[in-house]
Amino acid sequence: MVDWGHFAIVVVGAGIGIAAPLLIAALGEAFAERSGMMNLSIEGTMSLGAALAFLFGSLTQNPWVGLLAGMLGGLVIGLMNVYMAQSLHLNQVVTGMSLYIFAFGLSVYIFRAVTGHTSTFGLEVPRFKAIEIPALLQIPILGPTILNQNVLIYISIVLVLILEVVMFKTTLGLKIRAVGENPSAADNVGINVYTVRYLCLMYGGAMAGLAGAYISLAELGLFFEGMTAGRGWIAIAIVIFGAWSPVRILAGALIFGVIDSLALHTMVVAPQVPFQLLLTLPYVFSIAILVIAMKRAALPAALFKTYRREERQLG
Amino acid sequence: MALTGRVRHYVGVTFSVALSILVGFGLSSIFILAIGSNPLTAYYTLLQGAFGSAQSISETLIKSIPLIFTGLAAAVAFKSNVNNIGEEGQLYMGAIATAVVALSVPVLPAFVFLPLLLCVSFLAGAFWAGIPAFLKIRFGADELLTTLLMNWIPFYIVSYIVSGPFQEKDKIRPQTDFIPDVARLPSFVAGYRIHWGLVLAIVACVLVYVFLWKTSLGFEFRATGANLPAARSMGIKVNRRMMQAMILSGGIAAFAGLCEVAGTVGTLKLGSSNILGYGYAGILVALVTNLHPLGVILSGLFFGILIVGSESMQRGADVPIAMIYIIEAIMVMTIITSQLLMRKLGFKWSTGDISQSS
Repeated sequence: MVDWGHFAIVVVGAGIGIAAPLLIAALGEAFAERSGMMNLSIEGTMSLGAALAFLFGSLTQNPWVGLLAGMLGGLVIGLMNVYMAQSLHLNQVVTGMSLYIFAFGLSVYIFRAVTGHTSTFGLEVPRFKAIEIPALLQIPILGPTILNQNVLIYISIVLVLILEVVMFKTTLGLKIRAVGENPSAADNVGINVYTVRYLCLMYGGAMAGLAGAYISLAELGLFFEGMTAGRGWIAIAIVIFGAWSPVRILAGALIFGVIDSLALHTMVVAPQVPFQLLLTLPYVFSIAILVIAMKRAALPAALFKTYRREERQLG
Repeated sequence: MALTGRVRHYVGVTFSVALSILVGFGLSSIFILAIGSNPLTAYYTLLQGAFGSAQSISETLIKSIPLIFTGLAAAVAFKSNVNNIGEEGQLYMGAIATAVVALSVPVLPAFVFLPLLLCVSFLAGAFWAGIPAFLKIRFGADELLTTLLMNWIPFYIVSYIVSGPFQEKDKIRPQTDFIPDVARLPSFVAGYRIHWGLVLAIVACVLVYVFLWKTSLGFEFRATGANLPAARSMGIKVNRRMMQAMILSGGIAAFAGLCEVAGTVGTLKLGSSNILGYGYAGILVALVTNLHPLGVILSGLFFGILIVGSESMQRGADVPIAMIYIIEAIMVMTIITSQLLMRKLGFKWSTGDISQSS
């Protein structure tokens, strides 16, 4: 007989873990999109972040160095994207798709060149382990299953609150939203559209790199080709579901994580269901949340549109 | 002699593409130098691998077949204002339909069997692309994300059927039995693997070109892609055209799967990597030609060369095979950027330049 209460708690605990990299990547992408730029490269950027984080973490035996390396790699991809899409005015689907493939290829290439293998064969990396806070652990049932997360999860929850304030209560947030809604008007009141978009895309890239680093350093302790498995794209769906607001994105990522975790744990209680069917569910859920979200979504008005200063409307 | 409009246009385009490819290889050398290999040796082995023998030319052409189909699929969709980036999933649906039907129906004569397979694979891909098209038109769900997310589902369906209901009789490898010989696309050069799929791919490109540029319905597709509000105010049913473009695109992408199962491989198995297969490369194939159906033939061949060549680059020059993704992406960036420069010099590639952002 399955203990359903315990089952539910295990599902939620694992769901938080599934939500974390999606949340981190989505928190970056939300700012990029708020500034009017779609960054479609984050799936590849996550893979690059994961590879660099694993390699540097393994070389220095310090996960924080790995984390930083992953973020820097992501930042560079974000920079390349905003340079091509905003400074060269190239189509954002083109720059996003080609950088997705570039970053993905680079991750596998670097990993193979450094280690001589395509997966983490015989390599060890220090991982971000669950923090055991004695006071929390003593809480029956919940303590050992839900409240023993790793340090990155605690950091990202604090980050959600900080970013919510930045987005809606600071001048910077106002500038970002203005640039994404009406870049001409923003420029006319003296906001540098280029600076804002460069900052948002570099930050968004770094967060995608961090999300990748989370997967290789906290979640798996491994790197292999294709390990991000579409989670970058799911993160973009969560940004839309979360209406480009950090707190709602947190809620969206958690709902997604728990549902996904439920599907995966179904394997344990119902082994007769083909596991492949359960593995398709995250993608089905992502499509479902997109459909639900799109009914009420208010996209940043200038999303996907490059800004040409010479064509701005004065007034 | 002053070059007249059309000639000047083609000379300019050819020159700029050739130059972009050279620059692309130049930039890619940085990555080869970084791992201590010699780029010239690497590129020599690349060309050797793609053209070194009649056998390798046949392999290069075979690799181009699915790329031409997925490239054409992307071109049709992008040209009509629907961003279908789900060619990978639609390819898999075509492959699944081909294998399942070929292994389930009684053996038929080839002239019935092959058209049947063409129909079912087209329908499977069209169905798979029709779902996101419906979700876009009915609910406004962005097809860019839905088509992409739908790529992973057929991957797991393949995983299920090749290890479950349709696994080979010996039950050893995760693949289906070989489909009957009459259901195979025959080779057209005795002794080589190159098969009629290549002819199908080229015919498809020509038909799509004629459709888009010489028929009024095709004009409506392009008008929807060039300027949606203008097309709508001209009385074009833009939603219906986008739906049709998506369905056509999905069906064409599925032919890539048909050619893999009924042509090149003969059986359905799980690719070693679904992450960046022919579907994703096809998007790049379309982008570098500025979405031109006939250009797709050439860029499909070019990407075929790169894929076969990078396999030999790993064997011969110890450059990791992942270099293919880096080269592919760099080629897209240099070619697209050259379109931008060309436009500044007064050249236009064709109507509705993809390099241009909205």
